[in-house]
Amino acid sequence: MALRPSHFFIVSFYHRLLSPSPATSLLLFPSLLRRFSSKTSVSLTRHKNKSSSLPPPPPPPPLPSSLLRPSATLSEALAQKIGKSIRRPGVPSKARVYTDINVIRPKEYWDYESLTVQWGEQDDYEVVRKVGRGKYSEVFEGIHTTNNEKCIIKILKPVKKKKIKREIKILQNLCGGPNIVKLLDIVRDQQSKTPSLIFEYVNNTDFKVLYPTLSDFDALDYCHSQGIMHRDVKPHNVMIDHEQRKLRLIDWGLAEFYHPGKEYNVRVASRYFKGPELLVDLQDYDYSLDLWSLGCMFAGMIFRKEPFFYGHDNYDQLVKIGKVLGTDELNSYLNKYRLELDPHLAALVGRHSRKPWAKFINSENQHLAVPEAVDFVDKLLRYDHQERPTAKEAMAHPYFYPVRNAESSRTRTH
Amino acid sequence: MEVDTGNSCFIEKLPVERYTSTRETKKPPETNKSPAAFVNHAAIAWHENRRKWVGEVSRKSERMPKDPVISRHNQSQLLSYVSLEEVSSCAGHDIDIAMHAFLYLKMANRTCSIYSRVNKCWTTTYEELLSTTDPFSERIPLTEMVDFLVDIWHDEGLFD
Repeated sequence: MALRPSHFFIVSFYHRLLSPSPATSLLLFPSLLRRFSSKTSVSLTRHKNKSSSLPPPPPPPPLPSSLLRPSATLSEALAQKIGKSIRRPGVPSKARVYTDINVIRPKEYWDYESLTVQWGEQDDYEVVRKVGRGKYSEVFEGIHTTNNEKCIIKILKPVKKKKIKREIKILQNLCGGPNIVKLLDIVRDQQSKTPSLIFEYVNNTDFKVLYPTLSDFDALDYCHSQGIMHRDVKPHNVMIDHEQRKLRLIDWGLAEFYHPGKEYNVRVASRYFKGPELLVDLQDYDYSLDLWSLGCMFAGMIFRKEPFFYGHDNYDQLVKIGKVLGTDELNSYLNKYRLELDPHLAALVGRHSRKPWAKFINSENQHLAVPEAVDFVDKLLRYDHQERPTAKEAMAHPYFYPVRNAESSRTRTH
Repeated sequence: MEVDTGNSCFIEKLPVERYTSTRETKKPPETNKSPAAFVNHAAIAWHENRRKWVGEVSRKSERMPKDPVISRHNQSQLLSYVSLEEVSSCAGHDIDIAMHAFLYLKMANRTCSIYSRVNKCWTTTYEELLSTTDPFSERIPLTEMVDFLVDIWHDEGLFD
């Protein structure tokens, strides 16, 4: 699999983004803040749920509210009042491609709730070091003790059984697909019923920070062709194994089967990568959501602006998008699907004209923001999910013609 | 990442009005809809790969029991190990905390997360063990790590 022509600049970004500021770490891990505040008591009181004969643990000291929440701003005050958008009937949305995969395939393919999981042997695994932490899991580098092979172990936090089954079923159905992380085994703790997913080992010490390459689109086209939307595309979920030069799309915890006409939960994806459809409560979204998320990653890369749309909450996320793509364009999108924003949200979004992409180009990024790249971003970042290219169409974009790309940049420099 | 609270049954929520396209009306659905026509090769391959990875024979019985790394100790073990001084030194010589801890250890018939080998200390917090991605000083059985995390998650109210 050829990597995208501009592969070389992955590396330069790579390092810049590896060290988040302390402030970011606290934002990312609010529980760290909490744990530090009550550190002395935490470890000693941990077993309180294990036995009823224990004395009551001292309550952790409450954090001053100012630490938890900045003082209320106007936008926050507005945000608290915001309700869901209204969708009037008559204009349902459907995927342009792979619409009927799960209509055609038998129920057993997509009915993850009826999956019966055969649990493997938890005692066959040991953990070597922690590699990551997510909202739903703790991730470790591990080892299979009987064959001494390395693996990645994702210990799942308590969630609905249904969600666990969905992730397993999807990983099974995508087995062998290009650049899709391989699930090797599934085990469960007998006492607590905590499941752990055992994955192939991918040698990525950083577990984050990569940018869309041809392989991403390939992996996405494959999962879409199998009737599955990823719904959490972001740099963190794209891993590259530098030694083996292979790329993996990981974390299928939010992935879902696409059924035409089905209304999905809009609380998916990470804020900066949430498509407009999620932010305006358009629930019959489809695979094209993933293309928006890739567009955000891509825009961040070529303009060296991370994250490209830096919203402070989900409402502000729409505001930030509106300031770039324009609010007249947003309104056309809303009108097309007969959506009406809550008046408070509409007030927050305000009125902004579309900002030309050229305004994002500066001396720092001009070597990256070449015309083909800008055009590619322009095609991906469309309000109307039906206007975005499919993953397959995206792969055919001139940006991915290495020769042509190299030639055009040579022409520009001479 | 945000919570996906689960989708409600899509059959209930299918729009009353069916979306129609020329492509759809042209195609006789029966020819493609036969479930027999679809073989889930990916799932078959997955089961096959898993079998290979796990190994043909379960070697569970061959394993020797190992000393715990992040330990759970029963009361008698604890009493033989723990002195007030030890607890006190781990608790930053704060005698109140030490007393509290000592009472806990004495009263609990099972206590956990006492990480003796890595940090040479009786109190292991999440931060002490998992704030870095450096390798642990020795491998930790998955079962022990799960126990350790489950205790923390209980503490955080994730099981409520």
